[in-house]
Order: sequence, then C-alpha cells, then structure tokens
Amino acid sequence: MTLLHEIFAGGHGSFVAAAFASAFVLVGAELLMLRRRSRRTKGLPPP
Amino acid sequence: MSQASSSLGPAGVQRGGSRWLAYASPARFYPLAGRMAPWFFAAAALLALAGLWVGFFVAPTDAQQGEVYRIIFIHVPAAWMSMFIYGVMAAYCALALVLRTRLSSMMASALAPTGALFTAIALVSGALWGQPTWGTWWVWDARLTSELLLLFLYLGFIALESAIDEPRRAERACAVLALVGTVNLPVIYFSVQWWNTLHQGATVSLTAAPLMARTMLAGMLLMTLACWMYAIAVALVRVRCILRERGLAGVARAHA
Repeated sequence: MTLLHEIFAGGHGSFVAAAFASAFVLVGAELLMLRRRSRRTKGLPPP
Repeated sequence: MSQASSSLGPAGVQRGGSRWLAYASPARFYPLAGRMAPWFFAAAALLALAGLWVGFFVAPTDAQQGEVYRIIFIHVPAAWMSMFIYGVMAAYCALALVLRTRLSSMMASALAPTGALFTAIALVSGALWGQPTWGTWWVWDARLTSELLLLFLYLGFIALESAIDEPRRAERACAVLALVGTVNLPVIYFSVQWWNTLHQGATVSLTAAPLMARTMLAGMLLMTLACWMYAIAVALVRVRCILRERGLAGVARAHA
C-alpha cells in the first residue's frame, strides 16, 4: 500500500511504476513483432 | 553382454553423444522447439507472477532508498540476462565457426533481439533508478557506458546480419563480431571494481553472502528465472521462424 500511495502521491514510487511499465511495453513489443513474423512465415514449408 | 554394460564402453558414449548431436539437425530440432516453447512461456509467466508478488508484497521497504529500490526486481535480472545472453550467443557463434553447424548460427540470430531487449530494459530501468537516488538519469561511468556498448553490439549484430544477403557470409561476419564483443563482458562485470564508478558494487556474488534481505533476494532470483524462461521461449519461436524463412530461401534457389 505504501508503494501505491507513493505512486499516486507523485513520490519515488512513480519511478518504480515507470520502470516496470517500460519493461512490459518493450516485452510486449517484442512479442508482437515475433507473432507477426511467426504468422508471416506460417505458410512456409518446415525444414 | 548385457545392454547396460555395453553402454558404459566407448561405443556407448559415442552413441549417447550422437543422440544429442542429432538435435543439431534443423529437421529434428524444429518440432522439438515447437513442443517446448509453450512450456517455457508458461514457466516464465508463473515465475514472473511469483517474483512480482514477492517483490511488491513480501519484500520489505528498504531502510535507505524506500520504495524506489523495488526497481531492482526488473533492473538486475535484465542486466544479468543481457550479459548472459551475449555469452550464450557468442558460444553459439564459436560452435558455428568451429563445427559449421547452421543451427548454432540461427540460435545466435534468434537470441540477439532478446538480448538487445534486456539490455534496453536494464538501461531504461537504471536511468529511472538513477534519477531519484543519484539525482541524474545518466552518467558516463564505466558500468553504464559498457552496458550501452553492449546494446550497440547487439544492434550491430542484428544490422550486420540483415545487411548481408548471403546467409553463410552473414553468419560468419556476425560470429566474428559476437566473439570480438565478448571482451566487453568482463569489462561490464568488473567495471565497478576496476574503476571508481557512481554505480554501486555487486550486492549478490557467488563467493560471498548476499548483502540484502532473503525475501529481496528471492524476488530477484524468481524474476531472473522468469526472464531466463522467457528468453528460451522467445528464442525457440524465433528460431522456428528463421528455419521456415531459410527453408523458403532454399526452395527459391532450387527453382531459379
């Protein structure tokens, strides 16, 4: 609860929220790109 | 002679070795990777949930830094993975150069974007930790600069691979780049000992007791395992894409 209070009060908790949010955005972007590449190559014959 | 006793002999060792080497064949590795990837994704999700729960709800508030220290649960695993993946990538490149196994080069290619991702996460989360604790987003100290250099090595690897059309030549050039870049790994790790840096020294070491609470360490290790499982899962899916792409290239050349 202290962390949530810090985040909404604009304290240092917002840096924690930003760090985790940026990590999740980057991971999400990688997964999205991988999904697109996987779909693009799906029709190709396996080795 | 019984089967058990014959397996202890040199022939048995050779048979065992060749059984493992069989998975270096793309045709055998492809379905195996497809079967394994969902399990690694599931393990990554479960471990990340456990790590986040321990990190946010079990680990106590730090006496000096307060709540902001919780960035450690993403920053340190990402930084460890950035170095570890590079090491694995370089090992695959060395195997590709020495044994000329194509799957090794493909694994290195599959790992590079994920390595770059973890390096970027380490740098961004580090900047977000630096501002409230050091009063600055960035300093050109040895640890931060060498980590930034690692990101450039990953990006250079990806760019070099896409710049050369012929896959064999691209693989060789990338392997040389990756192997030369390994010089940077000890520089990153020992930079806090070799130079006077703003970045703190290691809190966790294999040779000494950790300088943090057990719950903090547990959360960090759970998140590290989650990142590890994620990296394996993503690499397996990506290597399957590469195999399909190379398969098409082979078909296209055959029809030309």
